[in-house]
Amino acid sequence: MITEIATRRLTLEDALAERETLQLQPAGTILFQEGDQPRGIYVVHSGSIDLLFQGRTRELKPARSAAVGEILGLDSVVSCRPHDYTARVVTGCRLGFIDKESFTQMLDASPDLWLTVLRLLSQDIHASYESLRHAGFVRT
Amino acid sequence: MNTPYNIDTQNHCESCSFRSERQFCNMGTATIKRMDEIKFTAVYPKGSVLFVEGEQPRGVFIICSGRAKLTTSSAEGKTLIVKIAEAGEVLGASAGILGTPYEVSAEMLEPSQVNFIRREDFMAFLNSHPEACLHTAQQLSAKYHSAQREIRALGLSQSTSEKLARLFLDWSNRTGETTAKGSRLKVLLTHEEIAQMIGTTRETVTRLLSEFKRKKIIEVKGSSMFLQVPALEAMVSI
Repeated sequence: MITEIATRRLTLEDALAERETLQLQPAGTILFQEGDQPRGIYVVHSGSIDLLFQGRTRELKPARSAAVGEILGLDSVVSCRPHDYTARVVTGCRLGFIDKESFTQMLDASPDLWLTVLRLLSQDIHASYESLRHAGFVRT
Repeated sequence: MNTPYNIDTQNHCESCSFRSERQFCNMGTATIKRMDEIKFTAVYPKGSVLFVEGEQPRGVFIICSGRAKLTTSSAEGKTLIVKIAEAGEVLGASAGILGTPYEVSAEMLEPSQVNFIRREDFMAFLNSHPEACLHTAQQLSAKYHSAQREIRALGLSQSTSEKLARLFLDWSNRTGETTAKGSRLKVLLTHEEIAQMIGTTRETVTRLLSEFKRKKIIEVKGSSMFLQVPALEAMVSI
């Protein structure tokens, strides 16, 4: 099972690598803002990115940092929902960008990649529930 | 015809009168026909537990009617409601897809119709129907957004009264009806359940609701609550 997941993950990575446009982004760049409609997904190849929540006074509060290899914006692209956080480059980053249309075409052409996408989204949910437990139980 | 708990049971997904309104179920005929073949329909009374946190995933549950609370528990036995799931939502999909234990427990809040699909059948369904993958991805994405919203509300609040104010503002934004007396909500949760949504005790919620009423921030009439939104917004620090 683990091998199967690893193989599928590589396949998705390969498929994304074929379509991505490489970008070098300096510190301070805002990749997308909370509330923006998603334009595509970003694969983090190197560097550091903060994911931030916007408070009612529009002040930005850090939620977490994105890890190398993480795909940013996947949930928003899949659901066509606005981003629910802001992504800001902390140290210079190398990113792969795949626009929404290319990503959708990729899934249409290779539907077997869907299961990998579903696994990534499921992992995000489980990580969120862990954060929720922390916020709900540790802070009270 | 009398039906269990007076629920208008929909036995066939293809002819379900709610199908076009439901994000997950609104799929093409071939896909929905296959789902019809692999699902089991059941009607549950209030309080039924569909699955328990930590249990190995047996399959996914589609709420056809009714509502369920999704909860997680701490080692000390405290309970936190992470979401109130509504009709049309799919439960247990992330655990089913990953093959890891359910992350939350699901308990019905009212008599409900729920369709169940065994995990093996669900995975085979996803493998053979890309459309079902898209609709499942949208469900997972909605769960993720919901969890993020709760994390923000709990993690960024400085006090329990602020958490309660945020919860009411969130409800008002989603289902509030504007009236001359303020934003009107139907509150179908107990004080205990409200407490579990903001990670506090029932006693604290009862005390805060009395305080909110005394300050005329809220007014309660039966199961309706009228909110003074500007006053609640002023209580939320960021």
